[in-house]
Amino acid sequence: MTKFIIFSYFILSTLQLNAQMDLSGTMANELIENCGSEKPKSRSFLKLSKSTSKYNPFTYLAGGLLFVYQNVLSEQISANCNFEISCSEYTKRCINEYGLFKGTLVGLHQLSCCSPTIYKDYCEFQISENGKVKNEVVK
Amino acid sequence: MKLLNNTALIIAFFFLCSYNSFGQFDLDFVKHLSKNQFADEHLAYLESSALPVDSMAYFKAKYFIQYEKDSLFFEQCESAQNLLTTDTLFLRYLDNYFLKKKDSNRDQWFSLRNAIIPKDTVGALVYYSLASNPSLTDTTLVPVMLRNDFKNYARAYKKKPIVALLLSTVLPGLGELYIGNLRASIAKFGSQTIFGLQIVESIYFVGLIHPLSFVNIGFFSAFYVANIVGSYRDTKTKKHDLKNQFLFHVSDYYASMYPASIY
Repeated sequence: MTKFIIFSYFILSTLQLNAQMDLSGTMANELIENCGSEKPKSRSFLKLSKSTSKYNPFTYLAGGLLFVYQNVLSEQISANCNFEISCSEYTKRCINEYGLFKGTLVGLHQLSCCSPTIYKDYCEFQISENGKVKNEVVK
Repeated sequence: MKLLNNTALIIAFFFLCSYNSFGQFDLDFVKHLSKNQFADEHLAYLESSALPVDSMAYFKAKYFIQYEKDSLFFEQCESAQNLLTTDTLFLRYLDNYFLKKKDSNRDQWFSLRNAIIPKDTVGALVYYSLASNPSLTDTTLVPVMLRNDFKNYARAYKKKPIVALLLSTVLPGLGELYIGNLRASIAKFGSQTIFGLQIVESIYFVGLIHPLSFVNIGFFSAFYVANIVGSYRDTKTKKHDLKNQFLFHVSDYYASMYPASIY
């Protein structure tokens, strides 16, 4: 009798465990599906428009550093820029547009201005709905 | 003979009916399509209507403005010129609309408007000309509600980029303070101070000829030059932004003061 009770206990506990595992499996699947539905941010490498920049190795070095920052570091430090186009993305676009020297300087200028209260220096129409400053690379 | 007459009458009746229905243009139906934003149906109806060239261009111009297709609107303007001058409500709507648009489209509209109605000195046109050169304008001419924005714009209009550049060279952040960006100037001055202190610290502890000192000096120099370039650029963009801000408020002011609509 004791053997039967012990046996049935094991059977039942195994069944329960299986059910739990199934449930956790379903939940995990749901989580994976939900995570997959979010669109990944566009983190591309430089797309140089100036022909002279294409032969400058330092441009590629700067592009590589920005690429690594955006894909590895930025998410780790949960970076939250105060500008609509983040400082790293803006620098990358400036390098694309103006070349390495001017592009880096313009990007660093935005970086040095980036503080939580910076929106107060800008006009109303330049503030987006989420409280960030609208910025664009002037061509 | 009587049968022939009847047949001719019937044919004439049908011909007139069909001709009438072919040429008919229902303005209320167009308003309905516009109100409910049936864009495709709206355009299809306009395309199928047998309107004269100027009327067709006029209604298409209205359609393109409603759906914010500015370049297509300008294509229709030449043909619709005469009808546009008579429609005051739509002209006001266009003024308010283009005051909020980007510079190239705004300039195109107001130069066109000048060409259509050269002696028009009222409305948004006045404020557009004020915004072109605020330093020559008496502030008392500007409505009270817009005066603050106008003063800000007129003040920024006088600022010289080269002065901002020189001030930033003397002290980081001073150029930003000159153009009225207090937060940016504090942030810049703070970051430059930290980089400067890092240089002093590294020179004090490890000496000048050391990689750490070189890195610190490099960072300081890069941010210092960026601060100078940025102040110069910011002075230019600040003028532009305050002008846009002023014109935005002009547009809102006129929209609240005078009725304006597409139809």
